[in-house]
Amino acid sequence: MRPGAARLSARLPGARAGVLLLILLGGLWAAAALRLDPRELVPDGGRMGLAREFFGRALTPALTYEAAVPDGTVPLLAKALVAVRTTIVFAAAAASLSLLFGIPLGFLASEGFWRARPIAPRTPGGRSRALGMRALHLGARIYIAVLRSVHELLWAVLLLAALGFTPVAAVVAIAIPFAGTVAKVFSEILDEAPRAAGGALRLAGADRLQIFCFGLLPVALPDLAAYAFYRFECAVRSSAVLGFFGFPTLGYYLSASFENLHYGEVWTYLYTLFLLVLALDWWSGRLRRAMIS
Amino acid sequence: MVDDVTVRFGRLEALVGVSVAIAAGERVAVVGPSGAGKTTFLRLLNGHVRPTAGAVEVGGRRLDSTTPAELRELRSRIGFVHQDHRLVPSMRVLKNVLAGRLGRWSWLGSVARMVLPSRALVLEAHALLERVGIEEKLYQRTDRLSGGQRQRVAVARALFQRPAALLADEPVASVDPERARDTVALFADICRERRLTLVMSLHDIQLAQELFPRLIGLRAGRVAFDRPTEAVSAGKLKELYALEGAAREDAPAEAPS
Repeated sequence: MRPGAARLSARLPGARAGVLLLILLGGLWAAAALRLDPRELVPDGGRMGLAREFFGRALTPALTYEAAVPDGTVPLLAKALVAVRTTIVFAAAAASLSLLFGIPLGFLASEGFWRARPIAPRTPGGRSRALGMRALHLGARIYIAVLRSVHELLWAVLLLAALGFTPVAAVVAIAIPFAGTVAKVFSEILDEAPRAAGGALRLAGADRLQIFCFGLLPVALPDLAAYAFYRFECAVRSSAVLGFFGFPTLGYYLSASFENLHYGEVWTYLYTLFLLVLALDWWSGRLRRAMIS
Repeated sequence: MVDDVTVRFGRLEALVGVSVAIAAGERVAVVGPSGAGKTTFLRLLNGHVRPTAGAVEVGGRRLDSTTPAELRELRSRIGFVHQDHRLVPSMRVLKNVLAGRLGRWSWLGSVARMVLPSRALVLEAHALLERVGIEEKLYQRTDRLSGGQRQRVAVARALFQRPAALLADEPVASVDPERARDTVALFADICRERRLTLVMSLHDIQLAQELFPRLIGLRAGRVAFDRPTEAVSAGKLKELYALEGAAREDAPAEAPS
């Protein structure tokens, strides 16, 4: 802990409680500003019937189409599986792209990558090099903040307008903010990983890049891999939602059924998404255990 | 050689006016109560800690005028074994041992050798693991090993540096007492057969007396005695620990370097 921080908390014993109170007050203020009324949670009149009908189907999701379909249409459950496949394909493309750009950015934004222990920083060359490193580090962090500041749905709106209705637009829309998040979290994982092993390599004469590659990266690797997998899971959810724009992922079929008031089908797709996320979670848990033990 | 060295961390005086000369190939145990400055003394010898006053010379080179590259080169010839071994838990034992020689390799060369080590390197690592008695663990993940086995891997890694000297900071503090003697004896034997200089800080004075020809006693940052083991009297040892209750706090764990 920095000495300044220690002194501050010693001087203000109720500082933490005060901050919590401030956050709480902020929440109350926001609720008042929006005129939030809990009574609005209960639908009125005609909406009540609709809500009842919708939630009433939760226990009986549709197994076949709720309306007549032309001959030769694939059965509902098969269609849900095709939608799952499409959702995964979009998610895999977007997650890979975000990792491709996010991982190097995360390295650049981490302290560990730049952590040099310059023994003689007072040489003129050493000084300008240190300045250049700091600029790159800061630049990477600012760039990451920019990437993350716009949500993938907003990117989708912008990119669909710019590129037209093409899968590239959807994949890139997800990949841009995801790359930023991957970079931010990777840099944090790297900076929180134990440094003892890297310190030992430094004492054996290893240079900065070697310490990063063989003393820090392997220590952080299980956490990095687990997070990369979690990003894939997030990409699955996002790619499902991009179906609302017309891409044939789960969200597309879900919204179509919803518009036709086929609530049983809506639940079928919702449960499919739920099972998909559950399966991914189980798989990533297995992968993680395999990596740690 | 350490000449009239004082080390201060802020207001804390870790070492005061310490002068010690250690010849190549000597085996020396540094003993004393905790907080006496043993760790700081060891860290002086590889440039991890810089003296506030005085001079340190290792292998004929003054440590205060080295460039980073020179310091790295020097460190690559000095093995350092920590109390808590400091290996990468998720890597195989082989890779942890290979990492000992990073200081001699370029970055690209080290990536190539760490990913696809040549047969010669693997055999060399295997031979060192054989010497420390755990050659069957070569391809094990390091986090599957016991504490004592990991300490042996750390010794193998230090030896893989092909060092001229070995520094060991309380290497058996986290090993159970029966194993501690074997481990310290292993250090002493290896250094004798390879003619390596060995400087080890030890809490256990009996082990130090039994296995080292020379003892340096530190108390409150000062040299209390420095002589051949047989010339260290029981009275001197008693004196060394007499003021243990008054011993100061440990030196900061992560010292600036």
